[in-house]
Amino acid sequence: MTSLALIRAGLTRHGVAHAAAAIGVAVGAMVLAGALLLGSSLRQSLQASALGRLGWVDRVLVAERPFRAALADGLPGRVAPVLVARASVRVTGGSVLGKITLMGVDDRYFGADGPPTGWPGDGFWINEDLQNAIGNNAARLSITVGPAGSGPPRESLLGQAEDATAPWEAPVAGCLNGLMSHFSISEGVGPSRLVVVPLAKLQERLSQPGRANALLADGAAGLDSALSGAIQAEDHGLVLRTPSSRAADLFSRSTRMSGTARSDLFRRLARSEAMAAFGREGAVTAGRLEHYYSRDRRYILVESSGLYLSSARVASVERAASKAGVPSAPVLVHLANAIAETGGNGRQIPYSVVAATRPVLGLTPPITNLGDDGIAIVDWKDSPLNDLKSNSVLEVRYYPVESGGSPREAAPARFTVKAHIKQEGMAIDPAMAPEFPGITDRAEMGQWSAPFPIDLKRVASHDETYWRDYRAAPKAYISWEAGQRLWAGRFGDATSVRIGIPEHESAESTLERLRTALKQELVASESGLVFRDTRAIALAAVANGSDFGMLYLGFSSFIIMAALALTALLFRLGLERRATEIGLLKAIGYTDSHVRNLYLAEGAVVALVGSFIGALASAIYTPALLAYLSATWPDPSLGALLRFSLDPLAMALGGLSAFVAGVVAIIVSMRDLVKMQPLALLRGVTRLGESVGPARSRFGWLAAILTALAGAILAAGSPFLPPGEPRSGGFFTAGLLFLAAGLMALNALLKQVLQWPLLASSSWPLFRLAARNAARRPARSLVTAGLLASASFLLVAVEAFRREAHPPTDADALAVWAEMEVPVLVDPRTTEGRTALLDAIERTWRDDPAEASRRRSSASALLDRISLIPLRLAGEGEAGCLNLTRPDQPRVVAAPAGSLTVADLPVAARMGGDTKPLPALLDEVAPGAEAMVAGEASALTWILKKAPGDSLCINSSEDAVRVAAALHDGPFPSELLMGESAFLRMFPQTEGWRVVLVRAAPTDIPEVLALLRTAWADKGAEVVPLVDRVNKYLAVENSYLGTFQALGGLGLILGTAGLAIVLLRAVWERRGELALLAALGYRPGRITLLVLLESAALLLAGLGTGTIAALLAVIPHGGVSRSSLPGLALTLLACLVTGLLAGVLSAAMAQRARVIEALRQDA
Amino acid sequence: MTALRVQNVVKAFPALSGPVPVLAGIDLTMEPGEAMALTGPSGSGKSTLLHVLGALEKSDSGSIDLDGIDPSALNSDALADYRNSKIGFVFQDHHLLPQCTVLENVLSPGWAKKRSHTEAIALEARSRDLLHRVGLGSRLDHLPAALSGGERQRAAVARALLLKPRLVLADEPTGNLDRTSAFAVARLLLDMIAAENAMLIVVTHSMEIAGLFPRRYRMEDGRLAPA
Repeated sequence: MTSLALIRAGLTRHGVAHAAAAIGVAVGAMVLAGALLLGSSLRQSLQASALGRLGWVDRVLVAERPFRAALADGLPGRVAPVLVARASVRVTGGSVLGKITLMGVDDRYFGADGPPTGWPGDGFWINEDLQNAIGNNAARLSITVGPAGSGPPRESLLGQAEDATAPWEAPVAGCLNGLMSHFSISEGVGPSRLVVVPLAKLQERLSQPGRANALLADGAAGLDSALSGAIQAEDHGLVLRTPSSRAADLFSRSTRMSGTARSDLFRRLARSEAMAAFGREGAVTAGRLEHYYSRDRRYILVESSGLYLSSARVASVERAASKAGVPSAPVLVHLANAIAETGGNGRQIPYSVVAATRPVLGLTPPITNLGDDGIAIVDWKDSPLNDLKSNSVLEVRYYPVESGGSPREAAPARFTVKAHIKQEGMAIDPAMAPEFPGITDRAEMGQWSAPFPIDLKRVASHDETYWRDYRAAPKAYISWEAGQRLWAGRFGDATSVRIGIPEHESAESTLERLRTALKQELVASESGLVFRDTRAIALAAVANGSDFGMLYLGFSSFIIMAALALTALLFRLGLERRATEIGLLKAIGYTDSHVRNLYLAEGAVVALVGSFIGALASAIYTPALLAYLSATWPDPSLGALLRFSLDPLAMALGGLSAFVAGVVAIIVSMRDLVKMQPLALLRGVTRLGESVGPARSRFGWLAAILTALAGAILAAGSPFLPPGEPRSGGFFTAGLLFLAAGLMALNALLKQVLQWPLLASSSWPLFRLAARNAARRPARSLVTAGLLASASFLLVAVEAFRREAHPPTDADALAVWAEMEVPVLVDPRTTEGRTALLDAIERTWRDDPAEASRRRSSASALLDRISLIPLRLAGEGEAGCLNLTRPDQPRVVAAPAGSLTVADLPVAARMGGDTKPLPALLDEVAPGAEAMVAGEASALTWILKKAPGDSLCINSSEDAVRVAAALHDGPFPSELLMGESAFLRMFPQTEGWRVVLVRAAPTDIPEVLALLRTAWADKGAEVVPLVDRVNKYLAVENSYLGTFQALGGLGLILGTAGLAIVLLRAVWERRGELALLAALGYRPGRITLLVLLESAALLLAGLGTGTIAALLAVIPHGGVSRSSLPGLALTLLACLVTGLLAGVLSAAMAQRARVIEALRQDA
Repeated sequence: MTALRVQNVVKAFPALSGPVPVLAGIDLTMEPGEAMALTGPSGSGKSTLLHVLGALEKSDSGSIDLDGIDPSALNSDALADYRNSKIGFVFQDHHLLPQCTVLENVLSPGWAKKRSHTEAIALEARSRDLLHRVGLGSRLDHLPAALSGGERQRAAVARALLLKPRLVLADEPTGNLDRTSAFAVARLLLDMIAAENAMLIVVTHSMEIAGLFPRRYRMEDGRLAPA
C-alpha cells in the first residue's frame, strides 16, 4: 500500500474523528476570516459613506471670507459656487438639532442629475438624514444660521458684538434625493444633515450679494492653474478703490438711499472735500468728485472687506506695489476715546481717529522722526490742543481692538508731542479711516450708532464742526511701529494700504499693473483659495482610521486559540484511538518522520477542509458580527452605514492563516505520540507515562505561591500607576499572574489528588474516585481546565476596563457642556455677558412680564452660584472614539488662561521633560514656540495615532502642534485642548466662543441646563450634562469590551464544547471501567454521578480558577459593575450547565452499551 | 437448603439471519458451599450462562432463584443492588481499576452505596483480611501495574468476596495465567468459597483445573450435561 493509499484509507475510515477536528479548524478559520472580513466591510462601508457624502465632487475650496461666486465661471469641468453656513434647527418640543449644514446653491450643484423637481420652490430643501433626525415629516423649519465670515471681526471693537440674526422660518419645500443629497463639506462619515436653498436667497439672507465662500469641483485637469489665473484681489477680501471708483461708489450708494441724493451724498462726504470738489455753488457730479480725487487724493486705496488687513496681506500688497514700481504706505487707524493732556488743565479731544503710518510723499502726511513714543497733532480750528508745546505729554485713551461686547479701556498710551501738522493735504484725508456704517455715514457725531459705549455728552460743538468738515480724518498721527504695538493683533496689522499713482499714468493703468503684481504676490492658501483634494482626503481618513480588522482579530484571539486547542485535542484523541496502527507501522520499519508525515498529511487535509469551510462560513458569521456591532455601537447612525461586503481576499487570507495554524496545532498534538516505542503503542499506551502513581508536586506548589505573590504585589501596586491603560494593564497583568498561579496550583493538585486515599476513613469516596479519574490524564485535564479558566478570566477581568463617568459630586466640578452653532461674542463671564444671558431669558417670557421678572431673578441667583468657562472652537473633525476615521482637521478647543485647573484635566501620560502643571503648560506658550495640546488618551492612541511628545498638523496651514499630555476620562473626549493665546495665533479668524463649560453643584445642573437651553436657543445650543457627553464616548470603549466579552463567551462555550468532547472521549475510553462498576453492583445513577463529579471537578476548577483570578485582580480596581454581573453569571452558569450535561450525556451513552461487551472491549 | 435454583433458562442472541440460541434450557441447583466447574467448547454458552446468573444479561425465559430472589423481576437499581450484595465476579482479565491501589480495588464494591462509618471500617478490615488470605498482605498500597498476572487475579478474587456474596462467578479466571498460577488461583477460589460458605461456578477451558472441582458440567447444545 502506498503512502497515498494509507492517507486516503485513514481519512476515509476515521472520517468522523477527522470531521470533529476539522470543525475546530473551521471555527478558527471562520472567526479569523470573519475578523478580516469585518475590517474590510467596515472600510468599504466607511469609504462608501465618505464618498457618498461627496457625490460628484472631487475637490473643494473653502475660503476664509466670501469671494465672488462668479469665480466658478470659466473654470474647467463642473464647478459649483456655494455659500455655506453652520445652522441648527429647532424641532417640535423646543429641542435643538445642531451640526446642520445650510448651503445656498445654484443648478450646478446638482450635477448631471439636475435639480430636484420643484426646485427652487419656496422654502428649505432638506435631505433624508435631516428628515430622519427631525422625524414626523416636519412641514416648517426654524433655522438659526451661523456666521458666514464677512464684515469686521465681531469680537473687534467695531464688530457686531451680538448677532442679531433672527431664526429663519420657512416651509420645507422638498426632500433632496440623488447624488448630492448626502453632501457634506466637512470631513467625516455617516449621516449629513443638509438644508439647501437657492444661492441667491442665502446671499440675500446673509447680505452677501454675488458671493460664495466655497467652490465644489469635479477635479478636471488644469483646475488649479485656471483658478490661480481667475482669482482677483477682491476674492482675497481686498477692496481696491481708485479715485474714480471712490467717487462712483459715493454717488451710486447715495442714490439708493431714501431722501434726496444730494443730502445723502453730503451725509457721507466731508464738507471740506465737497467744497474742494464742487466749490461753493458748483455742480455736484461724480466727474467733479473724481477729478478732485485724481488731483488731490491721487492713490489707490487697498482695504479689507473684514476691516483689517493681516500682516501677510500687507506685506503682499507692498511687495506688489514695489514690483509695480509705485510707492505704498500702510495705515492703521483706531478710534481714541480721548486724546488728553496729562498735566496742566487736562485738555482733551474726545472720539478722535488716530492713524499710525509711515511718511510717504503723496500718500501720508509728512510725519517724520516720531519714534516709538512721538505723536503729531493736527492743528484744526478750535482744537483745545492747538497750543500744546512740543514735548508735551499726551495720553491716548482707547478701547483695545479686541474688545467685543464688553470693552474696557486699555491702559492709556503716552506720547510726546513731536510735531503739529497743518490741516492740509493728506493730513485731512477722511479716507485715512475705512468706511464704517453707522459712523462714517453720519452727518453728526450725535447720530453715531456705534457697537461700543460712547458718551455723547463729551462731544462739544467744535468736535461736531470738525466732524462735519473732515469726518474721520485723523486728528493725530503716530509712527507705524507705535501703532503696531498698540493696535495690531490677530485681526490684522493695518486698515488700509495706500498705493501711489504716478503722475504720468492713469489710475486705471496703475491699477492694472497692481492687479497683475498682486496676482503673483497674494498667496491663495492664506485666504483658503485653494482646492483641496477632498476625495483623496476622505479616502485617506478611512484608510488611516481604526483598523477594525486587526481590532476584531485581537478580540477574537481567544476564540481562535480555543478553536485551535480543540483541533489539537480532537486530532490527538483520534490518533490515540489509532495507537496500535501507529505502533504497527513503526514495528514494521516505518521511520518516525515517515509516520509523522503520513499523519501530518491527514491532518493537513483535515485542516484544509476545515479552513475552507470556515472561510466560507465567515460569509454568514461576519454579517452577524456586523449586526452585533451595529446594535451595540453608541451611535445608532452607524447601523445604517454598515454594509457587509464580500472580500474574497480577506476570506482567503483568513482561511490560509487558519490552515497554517491548524497544521501547527496538529503537529504539536502528535509530536510525542509519534516518538513512542512501537511496543507501547501496540499495547495501546498513548502517553508517555500516564500519571497513575504519586508524583512530586512540591515544586509545583512553590511555583504557584511565588507567582501568586508576584500577582499580589502587582495588584497592590497598580493603583499607584498612572490612570488609564497603565493602571488597567497593571491589574490585568496581576490577574494573569493569579491565573497562572491558579493553573500551576491546579497542576500540582492534579498530581496530589492521585494520592488521596480511598479508604474507610476517607470521606466522600465517590468524589475522591472522580477526582482521581480526572487526574489520570493531567495534561488533558489541564488543557481543558486551562481553556475554561482563561475564558472565564477574560470575561470577568475585562469588566475592569469598563468605564463609566459619574456625575460630579463637587460643587466646583465641570458639570455642563453647551455647544453652539452661532458663537457667543460677549464673554459670558463679564457683566455684559451676564446681562445678555438674563436679557435672553427675559425675552423668552416677554408676554408675561411678571414671570419674566421672576425668571430673571432666579437666573441671576443661579449665575451667582455657577461659573462659566467660554471655549474657542476650531476644526470639524471629531477626534473621539465615535469617529471611525482619522480626522484631517480635528476639533480644537481653547479655554481662557487660568480657567481650567489641574483637577479638571486628569493626566494619563505626559510628554517627558516638563513638570509644569498641565494647564500652565498649555497656556504659557511663547509666541513663535510650538503650541501644546492635550487630548483624551484613547482618542490620541486609536484615532489620531499619536502619543505624548508627538507632533501633528491640525489645520489647513499645516501648523504643527505637540501633544503635551494624554488625559484619562477628561472633559474633552472628542477634541484637543490648547491654550487660548496659541489658539488665537493659529486660528486668528475665530469669532467668539462656541462652547461653554459650566462649573456647578450637582443640585444646580437641571436648572443650568434649562437656563442655557433657553438663553442660547437662538444660537442653536445643544446643552448636555458633561457626564452624558463623556459617557457617550466611554460607551464606545464599553462596546468594544462587550464585543470582546461576547467573543470571549463564544470561546468559553467552545472550551466547554471541548470539555464535553474530552469527557465523552474519556468516558468512552473507560467504558470498561464503568461496566466493571456496573458489574460490581453500582447503580446506574451512581455511575452517572461519578462521571458528573469528574466533569464538575474540571469545570469548577477551570471556571473557578479563572473567575477567582480575575476577581482578585479587578476588585482593587473597583470590581465588577453591578449591571454586568447578571450577564457574566449567566454565561458562566451556561458553561457549567453545558459541561455537566455533557457529563450526564457521556455517562448515559457509556451505560447504553451492554456491560459484557464493554468489559470485553476493554480487555 | 437449595440456595440457587435455575429452571429452564433460555437465551438467544439476535443475528441478521435470525436468533442464535445459546442457552436452550438450563436447569441447575446449588447449595451453599458448593463449587462447580463448567467446561465446553468456545461459543457453547458457558460465559453467557454466567452472565445470566450474574444478572449481567437477561434470559429470554426460565427462572432463576437465588435466596428467593428472581433477578429478572428487578428494576435496574434493584438489579445493581442484587449484583452488589449477592454476586461476586472474577473476570478473565481481572479488570482492576488501574488508578486505585490493591486495597482500594478490593474496597471498590463497598463504594457502590453510602455506608456508615462503622460499616466502612468493617469493610476495610475485611479487605485487609481477604488480601492477607490471598497472599497479598504486603501489597496493599501497590497499584495493579506493579503486580503480576496471578497477583492481580488474586486481588480480583478478594474483591469478589468483599461483600460476602452468595454466588461467586468466575469466567476463565485462570485463562491468562501460567499453569502454576492457574492452579494456585483455582485452589484459592475453592478455599475461600469453602471458608465463606458461598457457591462458586467457574468457567474454564482447562480440564485439569476443572478436575479440582467436586461438580463438573459440560455445555452441550445449550444445556448442562455432567462432565
